[in-house]
Parts: sequence; C-alpha cells; structure tokens
Amino acid sequence: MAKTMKIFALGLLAGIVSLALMACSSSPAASSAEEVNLSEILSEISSQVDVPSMLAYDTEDLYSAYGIQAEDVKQSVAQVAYDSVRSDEIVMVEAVDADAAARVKECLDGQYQSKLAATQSYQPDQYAIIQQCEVRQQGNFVTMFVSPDADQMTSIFDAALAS
Amino acid sequence: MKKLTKFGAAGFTALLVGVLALSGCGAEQEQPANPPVSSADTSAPQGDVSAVSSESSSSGSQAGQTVVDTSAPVPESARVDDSYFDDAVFIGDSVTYKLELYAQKNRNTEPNFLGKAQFLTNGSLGTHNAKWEISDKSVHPKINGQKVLIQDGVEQLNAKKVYIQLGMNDIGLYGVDDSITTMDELAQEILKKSPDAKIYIQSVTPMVTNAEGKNLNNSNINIYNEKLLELCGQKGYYYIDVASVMKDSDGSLIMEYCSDPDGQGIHLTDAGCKAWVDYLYTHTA
Repeated sequence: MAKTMKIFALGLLAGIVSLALMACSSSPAASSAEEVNLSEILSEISSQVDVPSMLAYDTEDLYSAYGIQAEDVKQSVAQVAYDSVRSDEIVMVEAVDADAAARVKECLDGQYQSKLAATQSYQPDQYAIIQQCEVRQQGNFVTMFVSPDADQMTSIFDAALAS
Repeated sequence: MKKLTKFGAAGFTALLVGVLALSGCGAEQEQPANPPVSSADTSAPQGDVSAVSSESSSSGSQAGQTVVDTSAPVPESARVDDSYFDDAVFIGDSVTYKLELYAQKNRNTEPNFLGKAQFLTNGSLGTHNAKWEISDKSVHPKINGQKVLIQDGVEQLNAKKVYIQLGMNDIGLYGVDDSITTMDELAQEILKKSPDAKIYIQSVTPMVTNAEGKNLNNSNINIYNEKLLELCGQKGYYYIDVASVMKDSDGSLIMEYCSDPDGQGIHLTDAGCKAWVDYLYTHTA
C-alpha cells in the first residue's frame, strides 16, 4: 500500500512537473514589441546624449524620406536634425521579417551614402562625423545613428536589445 | 407613288437634319474654351518669349488676368490661399532644405501650410552638379528614396509652379556668369519635360558679414541676383526677390534670421523661414 502510494505520489509529481514544463514551452515568445520598444530606446538615448533639436518622421513618412515601405515596418523611430547644417539622424526600424529588414537596410544604406556624398566637399566636418557612423542590421532590427555620439547611441540600443 | 413620296419626304428630312447637325458641330470647334493666360503662355513655351511690356499684375493666374513684367521682380499682391502652392515644387540647396524642414514642422499643426508643395533639395546642390549623371557620389535630390535629375523630378511630381533657389554652391566655385548660364540651362531642361510649368527663380539670400569669403560674399551674391533678374526678363521666367526681405541696413543677412552666424552664415532660422514664406504668399504670378 505504501509502495503504491509512493509510486502514485512520484507519478503525480512527475505529471505536475511535466505540465509545468509544457506550459513554459508552449507559451509564445513575447512579441518583439513587448521586449523592445523603440520609443523607449529613443527616450533613453535622449536622456543620456545631447541630441540637437530634431524633426520626427512617422512610419508613413519613411517612404517619402527613405523609400521604406510602410508594410515592411513593425515599428519605427526616425528623426532628422531640425537644422540644415547638422547631419544628425536617428533611425531605428523593426521590420516585419528578415526579407523586409534586408529591404529596409538597403534603403538606409542609400540614405547613408547620400549623406556622405552631400557633405564630402561641402561640409567636411559633418562628413568626418558621418564616416564614423554606419547602418546596422541585427535580426529584424535596422538602425542608423548619425551623430558625434553614435557609439553611445549604439551601445544604448544594443543593451536594450540584449535585455 | 404615295410610298415613293413618303420615302422621299423622309429621306429629305433626314438629309436636312444631318446637314444642320454637322454645321452646328463645325461652329463649336472654331472657338477655343479659354483664352491664353499670361505672357509666359502666349504662343511659345516659357523661356522662348522676350520681355513683355510692363503692365499691372494681380495674384494667381486666372484666365484673362493681365501679364506680369518679368524684367522686374514679381510685385506684391494679395495673399493667396494655401492651395495656390498645391502644384508647386521648391528646388534648392541647404537653404531651401531648411525651408522644407520648416514646412514639415508646420504641417504637423497646419496640414495646409504651403499647400501640398513638394521639395527637391540637397545640401550641396547647385546648377552645375545638377547636370551630373546620377551616381552614389552625385548630390541629386530624392523622391521616395531614389535620386532624380531635377527635370525628371519636376515631371514626376507633375509640378506646375517650379520655384528655384540655387547658386550659393556655384558662385564661389564657378563664378557669376557661368552660374547664370547653368541656371538657364536647368530651367530649359525643366521646361522641355514640363512645358506647362512656370519657372520662378528666387534671389539667393544674403549671408552674415563675418562669414563672407573671397568668392562667396554679399557683393557677388548681389551681382548674381541682378543677372538672374536680367535672365528672367530675357527668358520670361518670374523673379521672386525673397532676398529683399532678408537684408539688414548693410545688405547682410539679418542676424535674427541666421542659424549659423559662427559657421557658414547663410542658413536660416524659423524667423527667416517665416519671412520667406510670407513673401511667397504675397508675391505670386
């Protein structure tokens, strides 16, 4: 009787543990939007870095600004310096999938090259800043930080992604 | 015999009705629906007409309005509605790019600010590099992320009012006279692709005194603007003298209007852009 009870108890315990493991594994991975909120990252950047006055682009503006199709974008944050002298630009895009991310990166690569071309002989100080920046793709996230503090912005973004 | 008579009468009636109908159609086609509008629209595309006689002007371009003398700056007129700029495109360098940013910012609260006007700008754009072939190194403006030649961009945007402010990136490198030639060439390229467009050449705005250089300075800017006005008179382009409201008593850029007095000394603040926009709304043709 005791042996039976032991076996029953062990079996019950195994069942409970199995159910718990199944519950953990079957829950869907938290959506990227819940894990990474680009607006919150921008707030963090703005609190830690001296960002000049910027003009924000909505997701709908990304097509006219960069050629990025709205249907490729899950969430985005984009700002340009509200100043025709500075080249500062902050763009963070979470694409809907890997193919979309590749398309977004291609668009931002074009924008990056245009900024280089426009400043090379005209604004050598801005050209030097842009040269130190880059367009990066990490999974479905594509970023372009053009700023004297681009490294710090990148670190803040990477930390948010890692967490 | 009765049948023949009936058929004969019916046939004659049908013939008579047909003749009357055809004669009516012919009369309508001889009269155009709308008479020509302005000097730039008479007989030849804008750019091929000579300077017109001086007459008073009014805002807008309604049928039957008097022509504007293109050998003089477009005079002040009643403030137009925002919709006047719906078919406008502004072409320019970093100075105009600030106007573009200013318009975008204002449209967040006033969606009809400058109507639906669009912009073809690039920081280092000039009439010379506008002629380059498109490449990774070229500085052409973009439409939806794609670089375009200015004349193609105007056509793609279906713009009918083409405002141009270029020269700041040309005068210092190529001299005044050569820059006037390339401005005319650009206007002609635009008109080839958009023959119904009106060209509005804007004077180049001044710079602050302490930023003046050997070649790019207010004296050369003034000479360039004078020659732009001559070009407009010769070719029938409209001259919009925005620089006239940007100058202080010394002819330099009003300090309040300058966003980079310690830098290049040519870029505008919001106050400068407001003065510019107010001028555009009250100097139309």
